[in-house]
Amino acid sequence: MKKIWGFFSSTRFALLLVILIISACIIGTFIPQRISSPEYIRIYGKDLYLWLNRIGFTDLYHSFWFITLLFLLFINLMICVVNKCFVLRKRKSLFLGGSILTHLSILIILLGGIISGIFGFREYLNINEGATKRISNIPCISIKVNSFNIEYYHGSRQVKDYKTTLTLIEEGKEVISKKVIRINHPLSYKGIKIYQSGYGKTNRVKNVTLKVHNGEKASVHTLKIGERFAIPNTDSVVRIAEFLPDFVMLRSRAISKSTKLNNPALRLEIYEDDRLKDSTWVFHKFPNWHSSKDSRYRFEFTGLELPFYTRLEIVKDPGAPIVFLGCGILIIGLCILLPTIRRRRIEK
Amino acid sequence: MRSEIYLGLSFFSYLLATLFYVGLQLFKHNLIGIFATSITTLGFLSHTIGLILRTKEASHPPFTNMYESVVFFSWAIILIYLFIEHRFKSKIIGIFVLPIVLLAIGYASVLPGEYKEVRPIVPALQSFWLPIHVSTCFLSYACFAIAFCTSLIYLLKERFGFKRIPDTEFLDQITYRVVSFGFLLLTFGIITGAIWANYAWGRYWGWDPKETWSLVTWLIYVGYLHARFISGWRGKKTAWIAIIGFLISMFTFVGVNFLLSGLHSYV
Repeated sequence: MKKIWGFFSSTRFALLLVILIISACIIGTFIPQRISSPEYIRIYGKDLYLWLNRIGFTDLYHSFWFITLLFLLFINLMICVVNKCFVLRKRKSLFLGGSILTHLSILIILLGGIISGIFGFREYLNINEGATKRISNIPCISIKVNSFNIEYYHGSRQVKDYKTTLTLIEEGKEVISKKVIRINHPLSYKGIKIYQSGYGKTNRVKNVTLKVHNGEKASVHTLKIGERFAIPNTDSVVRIAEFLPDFVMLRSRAISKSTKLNNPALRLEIYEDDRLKDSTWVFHKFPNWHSSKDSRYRFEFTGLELPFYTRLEIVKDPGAPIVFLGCGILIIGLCILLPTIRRRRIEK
Repeated sequence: MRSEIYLGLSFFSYLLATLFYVGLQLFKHNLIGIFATSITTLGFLSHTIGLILRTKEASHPPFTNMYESVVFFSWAIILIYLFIEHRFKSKIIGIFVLPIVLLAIGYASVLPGEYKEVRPIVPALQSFWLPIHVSTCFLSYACFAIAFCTSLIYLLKERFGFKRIPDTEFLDQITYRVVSFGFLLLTFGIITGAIWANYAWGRYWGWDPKETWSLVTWLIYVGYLHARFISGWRGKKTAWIAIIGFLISMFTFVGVNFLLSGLHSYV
């Protein structure tokens, strides 16, 4: 029994554990972690995937055996720290103090990690502008997105910044209203934090922009689907009749092949004295394509505005302060330890 | 761009200085040594000007893409090298350090355009933590590079017993000092990264490949320190750990970006 205890608390066992942990870490960076099963099957094939999944390699850092390795290291370090404390009581030394602090800090960091894992949560919400969604881990709190804005670098399409204005509703009451969050600048409320994580475009169209050429003259109109406008200085009225995100012709019928914006197209109806004169398709990606029989006008589908959704990350992590406490102690410990080990050598 | 002219100038200074450092060992004349150090220092000044100009051209600190970070890394190596040369009055290390720097700058200059061009900084990198986190990490890699060189010299001396090389005990001591300083910097770099990640994404650790490899690097040097002070390893064995540690730190720095994907894709 004493022999076994001795082995589990030995430096040699710690070395073995560290080697195993390093190997596991390296394996985990070469096998994609926590991606979807179809993707795994595409990469590894079904049999290998099932096998990898069984031994926990698809979520290696949260697998039972990896956590066991960390736990054993924790126990080993704890014994090491306790032993050192006993030695320190007999014989005071700065070196030993630094060593204890350093090893203790690693224990604190691991403890913080355990607390994060057990008591924390993390979820993502995609919310459209104007919409409200519940936080599923805390159902009494919901988030309303008032607006979402993207800022670009001057004269380019490169995103400089993006921000969400949101309102927090707890039990039907507004507890925080119209607070702006952006990347690197989250919102905190009662131990939970809301981060700007990303954004995307919904495939519902908000507005379309149409340029109408009438001989030498041209006019630009921005409208919603179903709206109509008059071409300036004429009797003609144009109605935006239909929008297809991915236009194809199938047996001489226009349909949308998917909901992706592969080939956005608009069907325009041209009226004169309330009578339908013509109907034509215009394409966002092919501005020079004209099918209209009416050659007086030329339409260009110049813009389409899609509403954005904002991607928010909701996090509760009570372990984080403990981890950072550990980090602080680690730096202090190393600053004491590293210079003193050198001196200790020279004393010898 | 003007910054590239200054970097080119520093490249040629380091090339010339390498010849002088080698010449010093062949002819043992003090004047050659003085020339070697002066030319390296001039190259370093030009390198510094190049980095400052690059910062101005890009209007952000020079660590946001592969090109900028390799140039900064080589700058950090020279900075630490010049300090060590001055402190320990030994010019032998220059023979090994300068070629590494030449290799790094050469690598940076042949990178494809997309890794080189000045780009506006993406939202995730616009933070006060960027310069602190990145500069400490690169300084630690630079320390490990120096320790790699001293360990190589140590092993050569052991193997072939060159008379002109300082005694092995001295090399072992320098290796230990730069490794422990580099280790402290790496610890600091990982911690500032964790603070930043926690602030920006709400997680201090996410097992991203770069994070994981930095942990592996850190653990290798933990191994170095324990081998030295618990198991009493000296010389040859610890020199090998320092060499492996440097190779792993270079994988963390460069390899991860090309072979593995993750959040650190911009650097």
